Amino acid sequence: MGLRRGAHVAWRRVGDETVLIHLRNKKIYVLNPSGGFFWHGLDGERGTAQFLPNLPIADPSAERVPERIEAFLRDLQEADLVATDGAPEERPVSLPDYPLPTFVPPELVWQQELRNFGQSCAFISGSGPTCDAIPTT
Amino acid sequence: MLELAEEKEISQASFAFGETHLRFESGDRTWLAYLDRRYRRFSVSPRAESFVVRFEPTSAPLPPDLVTPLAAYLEAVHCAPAADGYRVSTETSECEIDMRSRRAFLRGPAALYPLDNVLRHLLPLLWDEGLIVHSALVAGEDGTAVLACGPSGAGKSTIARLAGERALSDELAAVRIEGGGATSIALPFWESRPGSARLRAALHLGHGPRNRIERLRPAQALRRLASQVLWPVWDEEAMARSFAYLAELAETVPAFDLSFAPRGDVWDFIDKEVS
Repeated sequence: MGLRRGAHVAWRRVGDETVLIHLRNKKIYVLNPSGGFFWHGLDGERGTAQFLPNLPIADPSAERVPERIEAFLRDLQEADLVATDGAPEERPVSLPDYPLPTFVPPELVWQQELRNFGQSCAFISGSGPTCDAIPTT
Repeated sequence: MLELAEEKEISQASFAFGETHLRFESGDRTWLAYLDRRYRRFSVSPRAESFVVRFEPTSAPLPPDLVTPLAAYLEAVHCAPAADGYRVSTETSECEIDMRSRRAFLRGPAALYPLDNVLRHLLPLLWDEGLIVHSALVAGEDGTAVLACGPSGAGKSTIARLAGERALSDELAAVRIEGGGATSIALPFWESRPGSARLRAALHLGHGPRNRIERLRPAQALRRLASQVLWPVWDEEAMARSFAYLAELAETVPAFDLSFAPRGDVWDFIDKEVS
């Protein structure tokens, strides 16, 4: 059985990247275009072998492609973004065309833990000096 | 269930936080006067549908390094789900938020910082049509506006001051996503005045020796914006909704990195570059 996208994860394509939010630990992740392709295909059925025929593999390091895909899927598992249990999706998604002319390793390219108060001086949690933004009225 | 320690003569004041109206009630008229000093420009008539925040002062002294009762004061904030809402607590204050009855009961020193802690949790929960963003909001002569975002020290207040009368807010703005674009509404804070306008750009601020601007790709814009949103982190459904709004904002509103020198010509530069 392949991996499937976690039910606790919301995701959107933004430009050519795919952005995920883990709704429980409040972390946000960005996948490169290649990563977005694999994320899209994680329906609980597909594994690395099922992805390979859909990839434009033309470079000399092709033998490392399965290894790079496995590493990416491992990263998703470690970040608790995918699940291995439960049934596959009832209607497996159809894979889109691979978004790049040749294979590029899929990667999590950015992540950040979200805070409810952003980074404003007036809203940073924790003890510390008073904010320098004192109202003038 | 919120319980009041005593029922004494209660005064009230109502203010608009975007399209959310909050009615503040307290027996402490001095505290209400503090509210009026900060939020006066956003004063509105009481409405039945307003969310009510009842404040009861405790006898605890004000923190010794609190400059004025209206100033910000940093405390560790703990928030936990409670029946029908949330409990927000700090070392010096405690608030029960009841989303079902649309009431909150706040106890703390007679200053505004306990309320600031509550509002940062409450506003994102009450505003379900968009995002609450740490950002200055500056209107243009063409009826549009720009968000000027960044962490503390990035220049929100400076760039708002340089905009003069065009500045609507120097700290917080609500953003509503609609019809392939976005509208932003000034929220009351240090120096704000009521106003809203369709967004033509989001600027991500930094200081520099000269004015320099660079267009961001949507995914870059999302990364910048993500840390400037007040996230409703205690509500998964609201988090998912805010995330969708964030993605749409990043895709529909042009975003730029702006480093600027704090000089009077910065808005001429911005208006020329971001049309």
